[in-house]
Amino acid sequence: MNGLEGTLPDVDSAFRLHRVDLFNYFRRCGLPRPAAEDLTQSVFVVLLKERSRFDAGRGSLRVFLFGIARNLRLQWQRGARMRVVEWETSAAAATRGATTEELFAVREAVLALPDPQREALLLREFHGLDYAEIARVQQIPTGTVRSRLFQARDAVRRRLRPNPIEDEEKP
Amino acid sequence: MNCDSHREVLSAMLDGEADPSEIEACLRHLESCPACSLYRDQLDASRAILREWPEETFAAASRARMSPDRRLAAAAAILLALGLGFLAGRSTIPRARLGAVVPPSGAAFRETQRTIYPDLNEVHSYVLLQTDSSRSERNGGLR
Repeated sequence: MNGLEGTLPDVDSAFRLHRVDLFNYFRRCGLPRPAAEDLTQSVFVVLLKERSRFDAGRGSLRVFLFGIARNLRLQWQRGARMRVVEWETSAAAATRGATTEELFAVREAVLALPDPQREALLLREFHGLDYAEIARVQQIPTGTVRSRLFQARDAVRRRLRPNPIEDEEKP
Repeated sequence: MNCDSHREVLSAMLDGEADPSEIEACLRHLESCPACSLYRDQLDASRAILREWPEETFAAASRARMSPDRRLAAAAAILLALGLGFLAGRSTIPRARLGAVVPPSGAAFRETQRTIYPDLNEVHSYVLLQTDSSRSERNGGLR
């Protein structure tokens, strides 16, 4: 990151490096494939227009892109006036360890989370952002990231647990 | 600290974001709390399933799905940025690769882009396709 201050990000490289990641961010947030593809490309159109705003000293390009993606997603969701829940059984069948039922349940649990918790969980588990980076994307304190992740994981765990813990009420 | 506090630490430990002191306290608590030990097992198991959520492929066919407005916006933005880069004489493209480039105008401009970007990515190839088809339409040609 150091040494990049004052240089504009290369949109070509950014597109090659991050498009799949961003596309899957949109998909796991519950957007249908056409919207996810559209928004993924829109991220780079925005980057091209606003790349002078990128400051490598304040965070990585990856975090900057997720910030753009977040704004585009929220705009899209406001326009769509709905929470899209879409499931591709073929995608579930492609995995090895978990059963299709487990994957369906985990996806349902994630999609049922409040948006800020879901996004924090996805950014952490699938995109490798640390707490400070998630805080930058969501514009919240890092302590809030920690509690959001705890609540999100707890909700997913409750959905998947085979047996309730003794100090918890039964589902 | 109560069980909930320790469970939040367990979550932070998964991310490597817990303080050493709270990790130590949490591990001590786990030794004497079967419910939290079970919680940790369930947390690990559910996380393992979560992380198997398969990644999807970004389809190149997405160009065909972009709305006309967004196509024009994308084309305009990219062409403007490239044009400004040329005019300002400080394109992000290495100078060594610009040596044989013709001035960026009309068909020569499109050819220039192809020269500069031999490995055209989807954004640029999309822009080229769009500008080509727009030109054809304006000229009454076939798409």
